[in-house]
Amino acid sequence: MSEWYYIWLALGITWAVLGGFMLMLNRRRITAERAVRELEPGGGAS
Amino acid sequence: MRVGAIVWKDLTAERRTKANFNSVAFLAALILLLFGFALGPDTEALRNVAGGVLWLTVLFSGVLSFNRSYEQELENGALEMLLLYPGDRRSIFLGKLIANLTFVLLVEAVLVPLAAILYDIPIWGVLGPLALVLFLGTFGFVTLGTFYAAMASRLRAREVLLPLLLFPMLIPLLIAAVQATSLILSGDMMVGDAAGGSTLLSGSWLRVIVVFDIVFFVGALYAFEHVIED
Amino acid sequence: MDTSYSDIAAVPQRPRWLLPFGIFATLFLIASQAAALLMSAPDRDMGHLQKILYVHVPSAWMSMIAPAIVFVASVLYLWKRQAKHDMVAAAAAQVGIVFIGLTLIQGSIWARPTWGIWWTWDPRLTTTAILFLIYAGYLALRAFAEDEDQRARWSAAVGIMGFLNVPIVYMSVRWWRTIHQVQSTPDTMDATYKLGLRLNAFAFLFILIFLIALRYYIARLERARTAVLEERTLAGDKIHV
Repeated sequence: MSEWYYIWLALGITWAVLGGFMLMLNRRRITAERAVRELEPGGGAS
Repeated sequence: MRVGAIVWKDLTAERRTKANFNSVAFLAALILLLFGFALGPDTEALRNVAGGVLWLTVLFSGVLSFNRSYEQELENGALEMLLLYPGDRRSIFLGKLIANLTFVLLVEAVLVPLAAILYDIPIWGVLGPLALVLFLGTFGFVTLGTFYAAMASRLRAREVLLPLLLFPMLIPLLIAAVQATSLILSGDMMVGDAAGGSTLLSGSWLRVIVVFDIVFFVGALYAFEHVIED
Repeated sequence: MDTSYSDIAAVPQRPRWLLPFGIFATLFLIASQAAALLMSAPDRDMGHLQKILYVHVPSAWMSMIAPAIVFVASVLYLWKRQAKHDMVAAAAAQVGIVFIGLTLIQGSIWARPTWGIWWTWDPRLTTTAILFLIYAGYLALRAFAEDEDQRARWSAAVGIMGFLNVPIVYMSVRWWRTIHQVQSTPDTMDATYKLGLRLNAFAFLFILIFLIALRYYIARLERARTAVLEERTLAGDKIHV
């Protein structure tokens, strides 16, 4: 019984951290892409 | 020649402001005393941890001297001048290294006798091996300290950044130096060999220190050019 | 030489494989985890606890691969002085420290029911902890350095030195430990266990590659934006956003 507690703790933390990190990076990607796209109508950049 | 000039310049600046050496040496003595209070009055127990205490004291007091060795140049813009001179950039590193090494070894010269008294460790019989371990360990410590301080001293967060970069890198050196020192201080590392002489049981730890010294001396020497340019 | 950080004003295009690869890597990870966990029979010595190894061992491997990538990219940067190598090194260090941290936590959780303690000075666990500190220092330096070119050179130097230390750290901790206690390694590995481990090792590798690629792409985007904005400021244009 207590064995499973440690197993789920380890697996849960791993999945949560990897998933959370992936979501965080993806959100940052979307923000960065939007910020770059918003530059374009201004033009001017060679 | 250029190395010598930098060593000379740093050390004379140091001698003129003796305050720095005095305060670092005093702080080292203080840390030694604080460890004594923290680890209890049992003389026997203190003697067993003396190696670790000694090296931690060296690290904590020595780390204060590295940033300062560049600050002098940074304050009056002399580093740019130094870089303008013809010649190898490595000689700047070597000069700083030797100056810092001298400084830390001098602090240790005060520290070790004091530790011997406070922690009741008999150093007279083992002065030779002890000096060897101290020198080799300090060399590795100062090599990395001089290298990382070249970067840390130019940033705002230098006081916290230098130990943050330096101490994790020093862990293998710390382990090896403390083990070797403890073996020497415990006095039973001398075993007779076939030739009638004696060899160090702590020799394998000494080998770790030497490998560490060589790897990071060569590494720092090459990487320093990239660090200092501009 | 100094042009490396100012010549790229072009806005980077997202690599077409990036997001599909990310979806593939995620699905592959889910499948391998499920397969390994469902297939594995309780181990003779470890019981069901060995299921932790399906995430712990791959994480530990990634904790070595990511520093190796930092090292290679750092060497390449000092050699070629191209900003992309610096950005790869930064991405690998950031992603790597997540895996290193995960490995530490999993190792700690593993140690508790196995040896009855949350922390043991086991050589591998201790080495991982030191790795964490070294790369935390690396990232701290990156955060504090202001000049882009300086930061690239400095962190490359620190990335190289840090990686050189890994074998020395591991060997010294191992010798240090063997004085006190002989370390036990489980060598009861059956075929299913090996297969599960191998599947998950690849799954973690794909995730690592995807995360580094994604982080690198974000860094390029942010840098391109800064470059364009700076160009406009110099040109006296009105700055949007």
